[in-house]
Amino acid sequence: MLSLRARLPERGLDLELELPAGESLALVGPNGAGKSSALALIAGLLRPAEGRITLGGRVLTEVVSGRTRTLVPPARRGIALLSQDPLLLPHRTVAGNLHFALRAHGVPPRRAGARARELLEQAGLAHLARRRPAQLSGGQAQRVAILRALATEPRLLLLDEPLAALDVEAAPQVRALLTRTLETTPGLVVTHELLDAASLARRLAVIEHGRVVDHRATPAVLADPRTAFTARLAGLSLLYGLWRDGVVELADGSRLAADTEEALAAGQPVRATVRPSRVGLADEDPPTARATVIERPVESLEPHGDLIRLRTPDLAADLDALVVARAGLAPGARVRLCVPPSAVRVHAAGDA
Amino acid sequence: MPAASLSPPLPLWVRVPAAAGIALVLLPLLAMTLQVDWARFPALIGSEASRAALALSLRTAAASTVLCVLLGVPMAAVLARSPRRGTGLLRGLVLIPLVLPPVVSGLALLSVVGRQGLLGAGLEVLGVRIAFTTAAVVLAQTFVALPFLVLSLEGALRAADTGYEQAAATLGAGPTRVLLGVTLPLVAPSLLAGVVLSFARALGEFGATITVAGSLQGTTRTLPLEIYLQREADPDAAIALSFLLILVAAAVIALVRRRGVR
Repeated sequence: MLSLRARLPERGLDLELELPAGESLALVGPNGAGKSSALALIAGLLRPAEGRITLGGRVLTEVVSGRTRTLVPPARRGIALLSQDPLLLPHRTVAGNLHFALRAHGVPPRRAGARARELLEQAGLAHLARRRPAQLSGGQAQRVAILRALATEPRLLLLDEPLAALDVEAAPQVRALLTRTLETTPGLVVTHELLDAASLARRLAVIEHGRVVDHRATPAVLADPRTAFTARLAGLSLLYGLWRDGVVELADGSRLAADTEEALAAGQPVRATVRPSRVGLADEDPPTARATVIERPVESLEPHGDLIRLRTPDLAADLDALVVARAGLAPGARVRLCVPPSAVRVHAAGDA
Repeated sequence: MPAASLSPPLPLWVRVPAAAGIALVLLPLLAMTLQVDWARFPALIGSEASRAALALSLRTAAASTVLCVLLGVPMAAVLARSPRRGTGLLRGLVLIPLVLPPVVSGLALLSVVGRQGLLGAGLEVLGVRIAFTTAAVVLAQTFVALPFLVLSLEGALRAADTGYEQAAATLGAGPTRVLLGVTLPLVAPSLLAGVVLSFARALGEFGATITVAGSLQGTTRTLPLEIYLQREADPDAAIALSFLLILVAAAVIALVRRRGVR
């Protein structure tokens, strides 16, 4: 199991994270929140001002009140780091890159050559063995980089947006390789993509402003996001208010009818999430009995798949282009949204 | 190809001094080439003294270049990876042989390895003599050529992307494997340029060599010294040998530029 506790004031970091043995974790958060720094700390490329990092009971980093007690060099951690840049050695062939990793891992020179060929064949990449990195496509290079990292039999893989630099055609193949890889080797995956967060790891941690603000099983985070960032990642609108017996009273006094199974006390602060695909225009579909009709200014309209996502300061709605055109909606206009109670999920706030 | 953007034009008169500068560089070389006595050329460069000088020059310049690599690569690596503050003085000192008159370099070396020198006196007791031997030639050449290698390599090492090194380290590569297997191969073009430049500087060394090593045929009289001597005795031989060194210089430039462009 991985345990991380690290403070680094000059980067605004104060991280705490525990990961059960064998589990993989997706790490999400806004740009500059400290995700890559977290990986650098675990890889031993960054020294915390204060902290302790252990993997499987072995202390990798320990700095107590400014004094470094332990700082295992990156090469001796058994942790491989992979970024969106494959960083294959440009002066070596594909096989040469694997050979380098195997030798670095202590495989004797004669065995390393055969093992490199074997790994390439298993991955179906034998035809690339003699190519230089400059002769590979982005997807091929990233698959070789993953293979090279695995050649050193790491106990933990750190993946920093491994798919971010790939085009839409190349990403699925690399994603498939990563999915297979993470079944056997636990990994920490930094990502911006909902798909990767949902498919590569069963756990999801959210880093904002240098702190881990949420860390739960992925479905729990996606169903009940606790921060604006995760709500956006999950594609939900997040609102705060007070519970008034079947209704969420928002700060501006408007009321949002909601179904909930959670036992909530009257006047309790709550968090409500609304799925934009369930929100419609009140003037288009006559609202059902309990549905809330709520008036908001239109903030923006943007394409969203084959629909148009309409944003207001707190609620979003995914609308048919035809509906948008017929209603003559544009930023600044006022719109009456219809929110059915079943589209609203309510959770007690303050349990984060 | 995208259309070339128009840069603001230079005033036309700038071309006059520019042309004069080019003439200054090319005219002497051209004039000397015209003076080469082609009929006697093979005999002139084939004389025993010439062959001895050429062989000595190639041997000592090669030895100096090897020494420059063995000492200069670690120097460049240490300088490039140290914080700029604190190593500023050291960085300046490394450049001294570059700006020092070669005669002064020779005198400075003599005060170390000369018979009365700092180390020379002690070595003399042990029966080891460096001044006025082939070893002194190599010493003088290494002294003046070292900054060329350190300079060209240090800049490249400082500019190199450390991402490759970090990736190699997380694969389990220790510092030695990272330096030899990642860092140096990545700056190979600059290393080669530095090697070629320091070889050329060693091959042309005159002032420091004659001061610390003298001019003994076959032992310390390198090609530049031989040319200087022949200038009085047999000017045609001096010109023929000079032409040989121009060819070497041209080859060096071609090699460095071809590599540098890539």
